[in-house]
Amino acid sequence: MKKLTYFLLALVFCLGSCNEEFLQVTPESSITDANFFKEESHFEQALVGAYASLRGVKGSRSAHLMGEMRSDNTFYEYNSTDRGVQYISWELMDNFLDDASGPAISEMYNNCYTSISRATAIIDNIPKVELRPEFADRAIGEAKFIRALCYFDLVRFFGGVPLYLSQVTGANDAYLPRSTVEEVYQAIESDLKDATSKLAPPAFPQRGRASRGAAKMLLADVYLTQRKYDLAHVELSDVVNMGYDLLPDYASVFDLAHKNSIESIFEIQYQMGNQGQQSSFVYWFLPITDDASLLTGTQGRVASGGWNVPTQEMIDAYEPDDERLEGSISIIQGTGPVGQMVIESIHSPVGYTTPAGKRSYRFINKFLNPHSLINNTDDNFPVYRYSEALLAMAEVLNELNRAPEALPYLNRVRNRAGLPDIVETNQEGLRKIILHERRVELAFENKRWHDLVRSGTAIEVMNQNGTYLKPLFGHLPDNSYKVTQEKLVFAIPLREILIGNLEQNTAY
Amino acid sequence: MDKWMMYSEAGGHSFLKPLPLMQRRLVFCAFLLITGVCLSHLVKGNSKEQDRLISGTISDETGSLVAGVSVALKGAAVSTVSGEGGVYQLTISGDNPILVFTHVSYEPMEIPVGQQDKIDVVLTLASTSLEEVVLVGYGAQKKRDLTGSIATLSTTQLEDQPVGQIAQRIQGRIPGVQINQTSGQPGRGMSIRIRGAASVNAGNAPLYVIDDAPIVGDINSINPNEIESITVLKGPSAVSIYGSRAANGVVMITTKQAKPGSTSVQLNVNNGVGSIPDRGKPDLMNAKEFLQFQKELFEDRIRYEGYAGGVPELYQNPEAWTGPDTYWLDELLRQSYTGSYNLTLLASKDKFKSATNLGYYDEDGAMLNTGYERFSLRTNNEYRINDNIRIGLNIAPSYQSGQNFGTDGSYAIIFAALTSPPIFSPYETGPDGNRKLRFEGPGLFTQPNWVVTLEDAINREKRLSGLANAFVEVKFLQDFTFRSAASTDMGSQSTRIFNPSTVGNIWSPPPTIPSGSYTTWNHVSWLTENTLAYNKSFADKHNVEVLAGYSSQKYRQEYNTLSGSNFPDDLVTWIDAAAVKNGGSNLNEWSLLSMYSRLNYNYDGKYLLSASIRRDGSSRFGSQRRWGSFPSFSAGWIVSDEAFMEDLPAINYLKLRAEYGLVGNFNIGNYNQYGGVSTTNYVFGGALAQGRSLTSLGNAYLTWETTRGYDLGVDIAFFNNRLSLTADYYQKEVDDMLYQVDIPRGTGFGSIQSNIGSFKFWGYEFAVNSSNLTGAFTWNTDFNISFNRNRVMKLGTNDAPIDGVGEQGTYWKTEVGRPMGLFWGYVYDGIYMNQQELESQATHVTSDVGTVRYKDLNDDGEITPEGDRTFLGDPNPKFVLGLNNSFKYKGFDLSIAVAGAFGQDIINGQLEWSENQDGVFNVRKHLADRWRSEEDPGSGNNPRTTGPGNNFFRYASSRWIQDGSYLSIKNITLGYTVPAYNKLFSRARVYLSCQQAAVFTNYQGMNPEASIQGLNGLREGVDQGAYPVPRTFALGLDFTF
Repeated sequence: MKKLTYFLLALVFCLGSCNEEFLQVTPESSITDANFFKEESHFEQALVGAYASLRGVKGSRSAHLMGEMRSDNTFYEYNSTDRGVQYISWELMDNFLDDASGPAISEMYNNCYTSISRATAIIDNIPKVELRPEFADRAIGEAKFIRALCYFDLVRFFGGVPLYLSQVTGANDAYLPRSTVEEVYQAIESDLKDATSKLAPPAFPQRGRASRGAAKMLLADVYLTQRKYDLAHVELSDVVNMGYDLLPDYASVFDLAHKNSIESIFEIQYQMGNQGQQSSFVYWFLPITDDASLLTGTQGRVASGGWNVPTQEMIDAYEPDDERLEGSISIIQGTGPVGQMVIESIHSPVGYTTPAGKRSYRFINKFLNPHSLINNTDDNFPVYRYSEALLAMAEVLNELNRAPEALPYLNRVRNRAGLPDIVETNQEGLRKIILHERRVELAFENKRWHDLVRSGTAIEVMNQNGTYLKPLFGHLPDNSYKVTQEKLVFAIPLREILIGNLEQNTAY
Repeated sequence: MDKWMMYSEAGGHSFLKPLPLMQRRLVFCAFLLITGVCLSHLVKGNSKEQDRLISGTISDETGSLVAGVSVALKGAAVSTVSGEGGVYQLTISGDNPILVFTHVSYEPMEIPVGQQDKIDVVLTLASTSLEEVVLVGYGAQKKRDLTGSIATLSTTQLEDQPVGQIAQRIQGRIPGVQINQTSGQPGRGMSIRIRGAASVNAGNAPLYVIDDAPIVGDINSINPNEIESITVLKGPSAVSIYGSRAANGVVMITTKQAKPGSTSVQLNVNNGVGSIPDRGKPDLMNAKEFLQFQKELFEDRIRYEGYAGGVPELYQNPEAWTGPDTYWLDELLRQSYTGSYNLTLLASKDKFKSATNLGYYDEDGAMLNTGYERFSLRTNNEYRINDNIRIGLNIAPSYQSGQNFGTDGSYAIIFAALTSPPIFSPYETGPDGNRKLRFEGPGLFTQPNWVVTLEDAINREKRLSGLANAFVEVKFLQDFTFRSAASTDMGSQSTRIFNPSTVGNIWSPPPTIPSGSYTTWNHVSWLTENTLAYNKSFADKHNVEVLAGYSSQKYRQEYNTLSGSNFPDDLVTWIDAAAVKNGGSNLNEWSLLSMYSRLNYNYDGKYLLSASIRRDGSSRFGSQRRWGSFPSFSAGWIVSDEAFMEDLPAINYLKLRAEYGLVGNFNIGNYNQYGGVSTTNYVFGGALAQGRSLTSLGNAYLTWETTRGYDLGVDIAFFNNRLSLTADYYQKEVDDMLYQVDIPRGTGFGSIQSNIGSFKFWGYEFAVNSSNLTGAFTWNTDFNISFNRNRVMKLGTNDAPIDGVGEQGTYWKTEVGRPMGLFWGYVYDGIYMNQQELESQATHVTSDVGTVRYKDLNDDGEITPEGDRTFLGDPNPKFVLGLNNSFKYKGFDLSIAVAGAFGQDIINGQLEWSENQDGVFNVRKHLADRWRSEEDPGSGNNPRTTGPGNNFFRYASSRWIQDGSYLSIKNITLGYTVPAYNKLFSRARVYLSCQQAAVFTNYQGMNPEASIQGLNGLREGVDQGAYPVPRTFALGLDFTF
């Protein structure tokens, strides 16, 4: 009895001694904001994370939809057997019938801001920690490049968006109104000016990080879009002297052996395998089929395909003998209805006509490279290539009334594609030629929609595109492809209108 | 038999695997029977004695000594009455003497004397008595002394029901407790909501306390036959002793204990077979109707979309069809089976009391290859070392194993059963002579063979649980009791999934590349409680009870997951064989420290007062606001004890109650006060780069959600206690709601965990118990009805509503100033019958002649998601009720249990697919009468199949809203107690029981209780096709040896 009493007393004492420490439970299997951003390695990890989130911005499904499918380059394969609401919303976007509730605009909007917040967290926390100055400069430079890249997409897709330039830590600083287009561009330019001064010039072979060359190319694109040709010329003059060059053969630019090549200014990195770093965007371009192994070498059903399908008009847009046509598009021939295509053979688009009893599918082949697992490819997605710098230089010089100086830049790109020199020096004529050259050189790299908008040709081209498509596709309703000035920006996602109390763009 | 064999082989993980299932059941049953008989002879024994003196003391369950108990020798004229201090003495003689103890307030008791000469007895209060002792959390009180709103239910009389879950048995039994069977999946599907409880993110499940130990999970691992009674604490003062975890109510479960002084062995066997009733099965097109529908669809495509392929041959001549005509839902269903076997050993002798229950429950679901089984053991033991010290030890291991699939919800198996074309048969064979794995047809979605999918897939869940608690209770200095208890709640669970190449879904029909996963969780929670109680009466009339306690709890859960893909074939189903493997592992912990105290005072047993306070500290909250205090007060007045009530002899008992208190809700994730940093890797130069990013925002000021409320109640009994009534009104307001507040995505994040928002709840509850007839024929009626209401007072920073943003799958919106979780969508207004209507009326961008028309609510000429959606209905019932009648005549007993809910709306979400006009699925018969042209517009109620407007018809609209009211006869049991005719058993009863006997409802779906998100308050009442609930007929046997 006595022993028991002692025992009980001891027990009470022991348990009573538990204190606040007992309640201090921190996660063991993950780290938290409380112990992050404390040393250089954390900032390096955060940078890696900021780059990783760019995969949702560039070369993502919404980027193909908004940057390419919205334009005249590509359409989709109308699949009457799968009318999934998401698929219909993608079709509606292509057909200019989209509203504020579709998933693609949210993906783009959210992914841009995810990258922006990751970049901003780095920018805001660097001054709080003592770091090697050269590291701090590089980190700020890369972070600001990433932030500017995303705001540039946001402002072009959505117009003036809320400008989040410092880290959000709670609900109080979470609600910002929309800024004007000019304010957004100011912020982008300011970030990029800082980035170009802090980043080092490109070092070859490149590894996929943003360099001074990438920042200057982006800044030039930003100036070009705002028609600030003088400023763009200054930046591009630097870019063309940084050691970049064209590869000799257009089709090989997209080979796995030429990832981050001398032609690459900036590209989104992927690696196939089991580490979750693979790309798979090319599967979105394939037809839906139970077996695409003839093309891909991999077994299994391609359920996600049927999108970003080049139009015949796009094929026809290539000049005769343009090597880029075969390097960009091939024809898949087979049988079976949409959704159950049986692939039988692959053909060049040059002079192709579909034989009787067969069905054909126009396929973007430039990103298809050998891989061993389905939906697991090694391909990077290009953001800026040197040929774009050359074409931008040509455009800038033409707009500055220096057309003769523009021609060498343009012709370098054309010659690589096996095409003869252009001699046109009329500004208006050359402007059209350069725009067309961009269309075929940068095809399916999600440049076309922005090019149409900034060149002021979007309304005309897309209404024509509608006139072209409607007789071909009976399912297109009368009110599709009614493109107006207001439709040149997409809707702000409905969620942001309702939760953030933002103003909607006028067309939506 | 064949089907059962298939289940056994496909499942392949039964305990007694070498034996086929039926034999297994027989063996188990025989084992229980033999054990029971042997034990009964062991514990009884015979003896012959001379005259001798028997003495002892008599006490009740609270330990109070009872005077005035009549003690008699059975079959003889020898008797006495216990005196002060409960002491008695009696001289007896004869063979096998039995003492009979009787007292007006207690259950009579018979005890065989055997070799003993000192027999101490603990009497149990008569169950209908106000003297009944009720658990109140850290103690017990007499029913008449309660001041809080507490409901109790003895569950032993519910054991006849052929169901595996306790929640199924108590449906409709407890006022204020709404229970829905939202799905018929074996071992799953029950949802519980007490007094309309709801929270945005912190969950609304009640706290479960088993034999004084709060557990961390739900109560599903507990064999319902182990349970003696259930006590539901509802009122703010009743629950507040559980502080930060009590906001959703507390369900206290008491497991079976041996009755003092008695020894018995009970065997209960129950076997049932069931099937899915036809009511509510969808009226889908048959083969010919479907072919005709397809034919017309292609004709329309040619006419309107310029389709050049012509009508496919398959559809050209529907009338000539001689192929299969399959109603797919029926192909996936089979006869269900339930078996329940329980052996209970109750022994109480001298200083030792023991109750052991061994149970096996087995269920083959009504859907192919689904099932559930549970082995459980519980042993409750108590030793009285001496008059002052008691030690108890309860141990309850259980093992559950189940096979279930994604049967419920979007694109799952019930969906498939509705949409698979009737022209295919699951038993069709392909050229290779095997059953076809997939079905293709012109323009149709390729569907897997769903019968093969069900039969071949593995989705095996196993759960090993162990509950254990031990306590020591010491009485000292007469009035003090010290109790120290330790308990653990341990569990490990694994889910193994393997989808062979023959299994697919509608997006990727088979053959597929095999894939699988293996996921395990294990958790250990330990809890210590130390309480000191003081109990004293002063000057006869002042009765004081004081309790103080301290407890600490720590929970740790480890999670591991492995997934494998690209298996080379179906031969090896474990991850080892996968070509690509991935895995992850993490840890979750929380801790809780608590101090609590309670004072109960009553004056003369008439004026009752109670006050309590609990202080909790939780690891889940921000370092700045970790501790919370939860006080409560309550008072009662037993009016019927006043002298002036003597003029009203019809009223035997009248008590008025009032209570007020604060409680909390801590059910959020574990580390929400911290911002999360996740792995976000990337590649540089062809090499993996380690990345990390902030992926969620932290909040160091995070704290409890607080519920403040009051309750006013009255308990009244008339006519010699034959009619009693309990009525309560409650009101409570939840503040500082734990809430994942949506914030603009511009921040980089979707939400932040905050304490913002406020809900208000109020309602009435009434319970009536009536002994309608007494005597040879007895008839008792229990009726309860509850009215629960709520309103949203405040939401996030800008009062931004919850839900209501997206379109497809958006059914609800919760907005300030309204009840939570209202249905939200477009108002259906027929179709545009002709070009003139289309041109003159408001349209959506996808509208065309013959497409769906919704109302232009904001009159702007356009139909948009921003401007033209509205509140369409309310899934919250106006009232829920339960009605239970029991009858007894001689050896016969009959009971009928009814549960119902009224006034709520339900969304028949299955219409989204089964009215799909794309022509890729089978559809409901009425779509035959749809718009095809202005000349042939059909009924005007079914849109066209062509054109771009199809997805607009798939968004929630008033077309899907139906009246969800129902009245359900949950159980009918007819029993007969066989007179004891030999010494093999002392009692034997045989009964027939019918579960889910009938459902009366206007709802057109199969189950009006279905709710894809359960009873969670915010997202309730959408039926997206749930595993149907079978009607089961069972035969049961109860033996007591």
